Amino acid sequence: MLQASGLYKSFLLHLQGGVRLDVLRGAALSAAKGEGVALSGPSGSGKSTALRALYRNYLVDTGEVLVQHRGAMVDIVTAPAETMIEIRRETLGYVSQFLRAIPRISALDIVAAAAIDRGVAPDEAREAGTKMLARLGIAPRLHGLPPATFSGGEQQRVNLARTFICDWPILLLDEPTASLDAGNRDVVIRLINEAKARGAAIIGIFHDSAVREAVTDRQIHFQLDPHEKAMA
Amino acid sequence: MSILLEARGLDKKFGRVVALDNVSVSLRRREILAIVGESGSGKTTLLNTLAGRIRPDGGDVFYDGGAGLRPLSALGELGLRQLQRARWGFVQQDPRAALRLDITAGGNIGERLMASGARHYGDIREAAAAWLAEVEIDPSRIDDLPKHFSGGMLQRLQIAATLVTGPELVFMDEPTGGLDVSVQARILDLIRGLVRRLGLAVVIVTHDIGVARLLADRLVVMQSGRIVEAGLTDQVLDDPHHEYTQLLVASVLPA
Repeated sequence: MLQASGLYKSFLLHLQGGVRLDVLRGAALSAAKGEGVALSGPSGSGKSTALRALYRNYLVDTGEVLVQHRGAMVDIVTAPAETMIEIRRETLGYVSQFLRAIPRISALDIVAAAAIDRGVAPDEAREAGTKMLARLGIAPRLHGLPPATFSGGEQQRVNLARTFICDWPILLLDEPTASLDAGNRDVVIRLINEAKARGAAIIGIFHDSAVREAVTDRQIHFQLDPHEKAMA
Repeated sequence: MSILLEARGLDKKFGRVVALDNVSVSLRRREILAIVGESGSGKTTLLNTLAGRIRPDGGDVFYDGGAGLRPLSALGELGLRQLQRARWGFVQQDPRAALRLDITAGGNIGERLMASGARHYGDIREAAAAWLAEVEIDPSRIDDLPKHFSGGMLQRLQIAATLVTGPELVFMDEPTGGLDVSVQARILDLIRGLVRRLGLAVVIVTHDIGVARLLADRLVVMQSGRIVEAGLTDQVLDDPHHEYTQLLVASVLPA
């Protein structure tokens, strides 16, 4: 479903006197249909950068990220912007660590929007959104409110609901359970496993080892740059 | 989606000041493109040139009105005016400059419909009332003069007057520029909803990165009349490559 190889990514920080950080040095990773893959390694080893590169939120310097989209393998590193937008609408789901709340838009509308963008009728999308929010323990009285004032855990559950309302072929998860209590964490584990059973490829960063063990079949280990290790 | 509007090699000077230096950019149907940059970067000149309001010194703007991309320069004065009135819209930063404050709110909307051929008074009034409601202005204010409206209401009235003719392409110049933050959020939400529902293509100029992030699929960053960086909105803002883009992103205070 997803095959990435030869990923190199450095950040050239012009404002910090042109410091260059080499974060990815030839990283490779893949995930098959129904497979759960954990990116592991110490903080600063590049796993978060790699995950963002798979969504083209970060643009790699070289390498390819092949994604199965509409029956063909498409390299998202070089795909035109409109193809990337289409891939993000249909194929690649992404749960960031934090919800980016939009002023005046209710939790339910945020959740339903993802489904509406994929062509689901608005009424149907809102019904599915209501169910998904309830499943993630968001009280009905909050559904109509903009999440800007919600707690961190509530915002993250809205963020999760927004992604899990759709059946994504490939799901990228950046610490999806970081701010959740045990009960909600178990709901997320079930949601991820349902997606896998449906055939979704899962790639994620899971600091919580219980979650990682419950949803992944394989780990890809990232290592610190030997230079940085020497300095540490 | 096919290309709706394309600029190739635009040059423009004002006296000795270079406003556009070999600028090329394209826009697809239903796409929202933001042009960001600081004052004097050329972003408003680019918008006005794309919209046919300024003629470039070099290069040309091409538009596909259904028969393939054609240069605006080949349209002639009249053809360009017809296009601007019937198929395009333009939302200015200052609604007072775009609206007529001495005729009613309904009249401001109706006038645009009449300019594009509508004649039936009842239909025009009905459309005006519907559009007032669409932009969250109480339709009972249809006969009020806009000079008594707040800044946010005036901007919403301008948006209604722009969209009533059903354009496929809308240009926006800092549409939330002069407004209070609370009012800005409402306008942005309104624009976001309408643009999606109507399937509009939009070119929006803003110096506010938050506005670009909220509305745009793609963005271009301008500095000294040149496009220094372009790409998917979140990619350019989260992984800026050019020195100037890094400065723009780093200069924003976190909320």
